[in-house]
Amino acid sequence: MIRLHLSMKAFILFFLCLNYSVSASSYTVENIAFPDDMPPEVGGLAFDKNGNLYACLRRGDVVVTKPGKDPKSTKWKIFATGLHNPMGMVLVAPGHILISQMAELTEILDTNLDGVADHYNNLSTEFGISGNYHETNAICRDGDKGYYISLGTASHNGPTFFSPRGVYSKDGRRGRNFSSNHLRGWVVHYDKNRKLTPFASGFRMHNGITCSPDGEVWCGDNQGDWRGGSPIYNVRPGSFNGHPSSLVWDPDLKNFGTPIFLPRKMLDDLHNHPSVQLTRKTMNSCGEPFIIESNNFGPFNGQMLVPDENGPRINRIMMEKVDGAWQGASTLFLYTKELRSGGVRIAMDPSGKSIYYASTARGWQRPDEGLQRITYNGKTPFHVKDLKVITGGFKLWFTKAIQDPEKLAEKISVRSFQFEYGYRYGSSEKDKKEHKILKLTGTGPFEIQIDGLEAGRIFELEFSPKVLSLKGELIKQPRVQYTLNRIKRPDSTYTASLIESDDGIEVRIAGEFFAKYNFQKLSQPIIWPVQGPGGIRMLRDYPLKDGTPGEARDHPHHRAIFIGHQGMSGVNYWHNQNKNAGTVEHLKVIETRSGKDRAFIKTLNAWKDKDGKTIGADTRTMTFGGDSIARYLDLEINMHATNQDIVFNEFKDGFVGIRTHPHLRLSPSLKHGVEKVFGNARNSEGIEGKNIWGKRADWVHYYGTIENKKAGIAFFSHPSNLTKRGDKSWWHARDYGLISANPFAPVKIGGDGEHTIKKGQSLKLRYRFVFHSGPAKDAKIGQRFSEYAKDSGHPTSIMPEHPGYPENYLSN
Amino acid sequence: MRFLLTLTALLVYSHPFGETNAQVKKQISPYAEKGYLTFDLKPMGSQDRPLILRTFVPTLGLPQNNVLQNHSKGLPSPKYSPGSGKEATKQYQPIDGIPAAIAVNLGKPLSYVWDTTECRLLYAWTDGFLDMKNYWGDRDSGRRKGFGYVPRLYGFVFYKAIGKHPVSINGKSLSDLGSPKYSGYSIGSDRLPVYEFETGSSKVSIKIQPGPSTQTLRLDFSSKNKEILEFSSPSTQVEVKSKTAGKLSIVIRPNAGERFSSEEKKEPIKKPTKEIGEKLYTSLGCIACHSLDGGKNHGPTLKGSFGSKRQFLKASPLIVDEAYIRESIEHPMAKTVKGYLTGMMPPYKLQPAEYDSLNLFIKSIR
Repeated sequence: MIRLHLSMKAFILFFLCLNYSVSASSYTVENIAFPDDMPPEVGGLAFDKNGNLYACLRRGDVVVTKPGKDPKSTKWKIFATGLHNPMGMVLVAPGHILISQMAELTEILDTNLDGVADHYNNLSTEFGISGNYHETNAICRDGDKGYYISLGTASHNGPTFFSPRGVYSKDGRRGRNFSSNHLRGWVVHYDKNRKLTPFASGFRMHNGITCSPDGEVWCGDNQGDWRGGSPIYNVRPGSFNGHPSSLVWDPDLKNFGTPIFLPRKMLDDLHNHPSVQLTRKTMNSCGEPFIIESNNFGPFNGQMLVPDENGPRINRIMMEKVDGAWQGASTLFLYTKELRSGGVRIAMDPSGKSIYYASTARGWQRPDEGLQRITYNGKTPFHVKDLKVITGGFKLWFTKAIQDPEKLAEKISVRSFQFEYGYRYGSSEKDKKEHKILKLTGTGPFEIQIDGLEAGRIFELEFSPKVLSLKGELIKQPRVQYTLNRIKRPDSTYTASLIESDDGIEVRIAGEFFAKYNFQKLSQPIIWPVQGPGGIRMLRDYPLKDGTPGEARDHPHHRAIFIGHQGMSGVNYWHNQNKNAGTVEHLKVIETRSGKDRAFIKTLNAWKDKDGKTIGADTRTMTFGGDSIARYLDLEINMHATNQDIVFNEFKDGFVGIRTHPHLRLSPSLKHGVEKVFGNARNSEGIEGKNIWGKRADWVHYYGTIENKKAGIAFFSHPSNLTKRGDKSWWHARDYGLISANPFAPVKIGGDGEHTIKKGQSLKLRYRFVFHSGPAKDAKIGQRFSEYAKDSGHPTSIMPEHPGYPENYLSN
Repeated sequence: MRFLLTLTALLVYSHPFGETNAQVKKQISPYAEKGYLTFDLKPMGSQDRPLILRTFVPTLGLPQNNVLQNHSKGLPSPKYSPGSGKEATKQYQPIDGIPAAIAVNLGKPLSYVWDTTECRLLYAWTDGFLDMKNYWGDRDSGRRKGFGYVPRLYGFVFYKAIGKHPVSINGKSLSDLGSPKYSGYSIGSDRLPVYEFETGSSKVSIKIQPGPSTQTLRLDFSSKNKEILEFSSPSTQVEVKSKTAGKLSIVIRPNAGERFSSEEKKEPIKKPTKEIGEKLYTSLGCIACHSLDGGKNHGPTLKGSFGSKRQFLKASPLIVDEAYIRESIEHPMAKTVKGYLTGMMPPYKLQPAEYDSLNLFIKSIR
């Protein structure tokens, strides 16, 4: 019933859309003629500086024309031939092109200047081809005499060859769309020194790649497995863009087994979420993004057009940078019967008034192919010009002034939804919500405050047919959608910044050193040192630094802030000098964000046993911030059972530990050379002193005087954390300054006991440290905890369950 | 033995052979006439206008352990259900094909395949070239053949690569010098491609053209560093035409003899079965848009479709029956199911028993 209802709606919308734009009076669409027997399956398109248009055709020819006024009398000349599915073309100079084709990156030259190519130089064959029909390619300039190439994956609707080219991987061969051969599903960089390096993974069919004038790399992708909608990715170096198979070619991921069976949350954490997701209402499969660099093509200079490979329509994308990343809005630019389906490439002619729109659909739908010219006639269309996120809502621009702007709120409805991230082919709209407009101000642009603005959702603004321009024109497209990955961060005087180096990342709050995350040359990543407001040293230096006066050299495994457990599947990650000690290896920084009120670091780590065998993985996000009297550090750690069931055996030593400055000890130790102490302790339940050991609590707080200054450290366990035998975390909090929150402590000492994460599953644990200056009561720890308890943490996508592992998983 | 083979080959070749020869005699191919690829699915070049086609080509049984030694090995892989995300015990099997070769046709006298991965001539034939129908699809449907889209070779194969790489440089076999690296090709005034590749510090080029008599090949090698080039291949007669420092010209005599028909074998189906239907489901490419497990895609799932009620964009609703299924395959534009885009599916003209087999298969998907 629900399905039927949706279908009905889609049907009605389909016709509404067509009706809205059939009278596309600002743009004319013309068909460029080809000889009747020449298959116009256009894959690549480019103009040279003399205004000649080069088009590469699927069967292997490259043809050239100088487009004239009358598109019917277009005369084509053959420039080159003998290419296999050429789909990417860059024009270096007249008579000199670069082509990405099935088998290679090829430079084609007309050296004798007779108008026909005579040299076909292979620039790179350093990527694989499986023999599968689906392995698309595209190319763009990098802005520095080099190129980016997108290498599509293969499809399970076709075979691979017994004799492919490039390294073959049986783990990459799995799933619907797959990467059986070297670097399929990647963007690679061919630089000015003619060296090819992998650039970013995680693509399915990025049929098209664009580098914007400011050097940003963009790829669209096709809705399908691991693509809920049709995504547009801002391709960051080293990023994983969501489709798992290609991860077999990422050396950091090589010990975790078949990528399509990785734990869902691990993939979600690795995923460089798309800047914009397009829904089926406007897009089935993205062709190549094209950036308008002209003021002669309507009021959309700097925006992006993306054609649909499966429908007669072109989308328009309005990007903006929010909290360090690109995201933005989309609307239909053109949706008309005059337009062909199968749109793959767009190029603009030198006048900047026309774009050429190439379409080919061979092999994925009814043939609909050719080349069309879309020309702006100078009459401003009535469209949404831009949509940006603001605090609590959106700011909206129209291309023209509207009638009754004060009544606009009544003519807009706002809804939102999410797409599922997972193996299923595409996604319907999930977790749908309607949103009230709380306030709408302005006469153009308009600021719209809405109820329930939340990151991780796609918001849709729909205009009723009563939205009219002053001249009474109906708005061309009734909908605009905004992919809200990130909200605007509030301004703060305590700006958080990061300084990255080879061995770690330093965090500063309002310019003052706070902490350093060290990930090299240690048996596991450690946070040390940590300084509170005013530079108060908060942690014991030993064993990271020896010789600090007044420090005891007991428990050398208590390294500042550390994460581990005495027995995880039989391996000791707590006592790093133990003969059975494992290591936690930092593999990569997945992402960092900084500026405004907080900074964060997200990393991927491998948990290995003493012989180097991988047991599991974690993705951890550490968020740093501060105010006038405190600094905080949030740790959100997702443990992933990648290679086997992870069993946290019941032991008292684990899981996140901190060793305080010796002045915060509760009792002295003459044996260890600590004569005088200045510390007190209290937990959320009101228990004080050394009695807090072995108790359950929301938080524990060590406070007193450090080096003659009042200060303290509070340690929170988030209420959402796993506690199998009680409501609150069990604390291993010692009088000598070790504090650890342990969800797997022995039952006989009041803990929660053993816990198993089944292979393919993940466990999330969240903690906060507050490092404050001044007296304990001023730090308002209880209040700070209440705020933390309400914090929902980093969003998790809606994901289908792990499908389980095949029985012969390891044997074949 | 070799003599006999050659003799047979010559006899076969000189015999006027059915329609292929007749066609070639009658008309010049569209490519040879116009110089661009058309909708013609059996494109041919000529000696004046060689046709260079980069495409997948058949393996023709060339062994992986020596001739195709620089290719990797494709393996069977578990079948995958995109609806459930699970793998099955059944496996996908790889197929024969060479992924990065260059196929060239000079008209009736010569076709050959030179491979950019092995940097060597793989095979040569006369009397035909490649039938691209399975890969390019016909003009109306544009459909490749699901799991069998490698273009079909037709004609008479008279040379096949045997053993390791036949070229040696200063007495060292190219096979022992590490993987050769293809550099590209240039086209001279005779319009023939001259391929270039590097191996170690050597740069070698090769030009391939018809030999002095039918079913022979002329190969001209040259080395940029003026090294001594030699060519030797087991079971292959090689006649050295000239040999100087950095140059080698040879003529190769036939070492194979096998005719591949220009017509695809089509076995009439005696009795429609759901197994035949299942094969058609993959080979025709239905699988690309119609899932078997209820998963949503460009077209409706086949799961439970037979006997279910369908709503359409324009037509009145109906219960899915055999007539509707046949209509959907033959005239997909006739009705569009609600929630899907019109015009996504190409029409298929099949034998009646094939429609029936598809019907049986679709009925079985509950």
